[in-house]
Amino acid sequence: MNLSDTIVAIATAPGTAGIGVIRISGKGAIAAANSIFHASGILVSLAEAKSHHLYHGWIQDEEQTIDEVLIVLMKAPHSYTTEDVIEIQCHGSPVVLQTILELLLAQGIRLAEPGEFTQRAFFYGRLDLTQVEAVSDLIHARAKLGVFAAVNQLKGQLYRAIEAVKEQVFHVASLLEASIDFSEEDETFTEHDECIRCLTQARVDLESLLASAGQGKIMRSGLGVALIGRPNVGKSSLLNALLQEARAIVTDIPGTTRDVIEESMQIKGMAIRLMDTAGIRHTDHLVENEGVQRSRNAWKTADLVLLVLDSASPFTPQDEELIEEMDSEKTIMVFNKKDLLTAHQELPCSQLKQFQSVYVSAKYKEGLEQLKEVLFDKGMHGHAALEEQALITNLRQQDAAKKALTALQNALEGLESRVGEECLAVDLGSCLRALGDIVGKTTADDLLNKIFSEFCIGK
Amino acid sequence: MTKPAIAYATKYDVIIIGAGHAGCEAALAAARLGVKTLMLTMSADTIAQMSCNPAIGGLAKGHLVKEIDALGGEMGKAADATGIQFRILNRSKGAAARGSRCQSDMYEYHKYMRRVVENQQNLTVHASTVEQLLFNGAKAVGVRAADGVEFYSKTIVITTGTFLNGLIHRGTERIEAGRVGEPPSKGITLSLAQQHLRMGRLKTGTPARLNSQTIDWEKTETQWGDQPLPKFSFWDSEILLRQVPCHVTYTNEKTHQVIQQNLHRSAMYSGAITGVGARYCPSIEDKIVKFADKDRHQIFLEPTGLESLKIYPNGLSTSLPADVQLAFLQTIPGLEEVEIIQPGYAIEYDFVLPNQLKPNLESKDVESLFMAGQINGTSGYEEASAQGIIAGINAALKVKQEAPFILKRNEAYIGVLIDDLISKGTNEPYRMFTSRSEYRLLLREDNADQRLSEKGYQVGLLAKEYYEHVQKKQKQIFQLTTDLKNLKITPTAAVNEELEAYGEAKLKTGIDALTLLKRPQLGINNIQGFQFMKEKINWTDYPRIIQEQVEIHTKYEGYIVRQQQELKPFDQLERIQLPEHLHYEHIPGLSREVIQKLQEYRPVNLGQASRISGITPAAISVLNIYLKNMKKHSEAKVS
Repeated sequence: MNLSDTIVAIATAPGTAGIGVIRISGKGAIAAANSIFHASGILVSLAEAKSHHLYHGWIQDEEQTIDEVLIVLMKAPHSYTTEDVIEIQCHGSPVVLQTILELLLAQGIRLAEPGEFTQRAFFYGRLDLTQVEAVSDLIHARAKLGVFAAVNQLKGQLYRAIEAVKEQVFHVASLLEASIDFSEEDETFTEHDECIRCLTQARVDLESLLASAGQGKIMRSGLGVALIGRPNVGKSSLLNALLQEARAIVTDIPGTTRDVIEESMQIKGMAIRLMDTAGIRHTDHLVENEGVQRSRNAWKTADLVLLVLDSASPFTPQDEELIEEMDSEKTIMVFNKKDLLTAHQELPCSQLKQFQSVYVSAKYKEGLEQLKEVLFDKGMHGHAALEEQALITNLRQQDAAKKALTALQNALEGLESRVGEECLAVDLGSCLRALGDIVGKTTADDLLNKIFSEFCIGK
Repeated sequence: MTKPAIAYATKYDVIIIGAGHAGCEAALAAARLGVKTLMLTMSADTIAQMSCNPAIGGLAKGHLVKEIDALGGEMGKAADATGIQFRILNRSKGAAARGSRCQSDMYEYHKYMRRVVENQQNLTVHASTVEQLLFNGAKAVGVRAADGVEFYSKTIVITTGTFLNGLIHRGTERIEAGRVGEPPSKGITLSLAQQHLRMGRLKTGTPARLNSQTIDWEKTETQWGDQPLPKFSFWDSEILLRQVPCHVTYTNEKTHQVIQQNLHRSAMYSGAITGVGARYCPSIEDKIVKFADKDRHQIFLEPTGLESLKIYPNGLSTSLPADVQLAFLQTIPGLEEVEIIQPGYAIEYDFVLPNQLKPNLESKDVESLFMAGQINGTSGYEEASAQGIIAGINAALKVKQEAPFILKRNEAYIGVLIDDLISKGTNEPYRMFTSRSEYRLLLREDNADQRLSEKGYQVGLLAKEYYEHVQKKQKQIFQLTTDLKNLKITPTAAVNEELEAYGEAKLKTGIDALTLLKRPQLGINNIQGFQFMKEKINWTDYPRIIQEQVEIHTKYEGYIVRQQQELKPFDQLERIQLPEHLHYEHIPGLSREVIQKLQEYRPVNLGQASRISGITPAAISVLNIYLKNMKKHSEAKVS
């Protein structure tokens, strides 16, 4: 990585398309573009051209015209990288793009490494770490919800939410510091109740942010859903029905599915990874037993489990064993073959009420929409997909937020048992440092600045 | 017309320019390390003069005094010998927040320090005004006095306080002066500029001095010092003088009115002053403008000496003209008929941007040139002395060709002070606060001797007997800690009954006595009082001071351990050295702004680099990776 070079790369995906974009960033960006660009108007040089305007013209090498293009000029510091940035919009032919790229490389600028434009934006301070993560998430988003989460983060939603928590903690920390360092002043700094109120508010906010981590992860990476059940309850039929294709082999023979089959689908913009698994039963058959092991692994890694049961027959001991093992929080009971459910059939007993259940018929495609609704709601932890919501979307952010929360709890306990201000300051300091890992650091000077701006200090 | 040069016959190892608080500690430290030292001052009658308020110590400043004392400096002893009111500030708070402060008889303080300096072996005091620094290329070799005499030395320490191009402002009046009634020093700034050192300008202020006979003391609140008297020095000093109180009064709306109406006549508000003042030490006009909603400001009336009529009204520093000063003073309860002995003023002076210094306080660019005190942008006698002792030690070590003496941020507030100055610089007069230290719980007044006496002894400043005394103390602390740890308390009915009677939770399982002491509401006093502890430990073996140390350490231990773990990654950065002539412009991945900052500050290690404003954590990672690669390459070359 070298920030002093000018870098260039084809910005659009490989393959043929209507338009292709080449992006250049760095001190030499304008000069490099200028030497191969011939404007159609009276423009003499891009160097003198107005920033944030579009210029029409032709790309030419020494002998001939390569393509008709539009050039976007964004001068430093108001660009993605904060350097001079040029984007050449040409026709989306791989040959044209490659030719223009080579012309530019001949001007002495170099090919960008993957992610280097964003890296520069980060190093020059235009994006914070959460925003850099968001850019990567946005590029790799697999479904609309993932885009939501990433765009919110890019817009700084998480940044602002953490900032708000930090502001509360910072406020109390500055009061504590003032009360230690300026106790001789004719000022009252810390009110016990105010400290408790601010820190409790910070804790509540941080907790709800942390609670969003599950939802954030699912919006970002999608929901892993395992179909679990004893053999021959119709798991594979259900998979096929949900996918609307005959993906898995379906027979009447119990134990047809031996390996885990994974397929993707979307429900209302949420990426879902469906895992069809071998039916679980006790068996001495070597291959089937391995299949059961794999089912259990899929079950463990899944975010949600669809426990598939047979409406046509009463619970078998195997069913009961499985129900016993299930965590009701992450399980939906799916009673398949609802077409065979008869009025006199025993309804699920009351102890099962803690489970959410859905009746479907994979065969007749009944109840599937309801199942999708339940899946989506459970995946979102009951939250709506708010566009303006701050979410913790990765482990790094989650770890830092957890650390901050622990420190905050220590401080609140300390406040309750009336430990010294100098000890509380230690906990708040580590809380601020942890939050700083997400959004940027707080220094001793920041604390002093706040004190001096709010209180009349000095004899 | 310059006088012809006359070379002074004696050649010195260290020359100290200035005899203020920084100069005295620097001169004493150098001389005590056994090198031939010369102190040059405009007048021997102003040695260790208290130009502003007549007090030593305070929050975080008391820490500095005790650290100076623990290293073998003089300030703590001088304060004890000449103090007339002693207090521990924040007494109701935890040990790490407490700070000692005393009112001093400023005349006695001067006399004490003058006596010590003049009687110090290896130290000569000479009254002479330095007009020029002498260099050999980029190395300081001596000074030239106004009378043409040239003094030569191996190293020079500049401790000139507010004297460099000092300019006093009072109303529209401007007087070139270093202090009231004393001429400024102009030549030194020129010499420094010749060596291309970058300078800045700061401002400070002082209130009028009042005639105590014209004050109606009945109308003020009386504030006595603490009993028993808390002294500064860890060693065999004594508090000698009669103790007297301070008095408290307040400004009121009338006072504020007078000031408001005359604001245009204040030097600060008329735009005459360009230097930057400190936010924690605003003038009274500043306070009234910026905090207009406050209806009164507290004023401490401090004595300046037992035999002196002069009263220092702390809280009223001003640059208003003398007639306005009198007018607003006379609106204050107790001061209705007050007379001014000397009006207050603001003073502007040059300082050297301290990021041009190395951790030993030597200039990065001019060899053998050391600087300490206000010239480095600080404020306060304690901050000055702290730098003085370090500069003095290091000037002597340089002469002896020994490794520099540097205190780290986690060892002393002195370390925090110097590291802040050299790695962050300052844009206002820098004062110490405990919040500036990330190791507040470790760096306490009460353990300064345990933290620093070994260093003071090893460098040759602290007497052996003092050091041995601290060693003995530490052994006792360790012994009592071990005793308590080994003492198991079983949850018998008798034990629990006694705990409950004291309002403490019962024991469920057996614990050791040290763990019991961790309970927030239990002090070592309480623990001693329990019947079940009485026979077990021979408390009379351990003096009160030892017991206190064990208690403080036990209470803080959990926090200290947590803090140290958390700061470990930062500590590691301190250990990664940055080569002096690193070409930052050639390091891939650093932005222009970062390169510029690094070139300007030239940090000595990564920790210091990380504290420079504008250096991002990302830049630190880049540097770290670069240094690792560099090491790998050089190792590959060798093998």
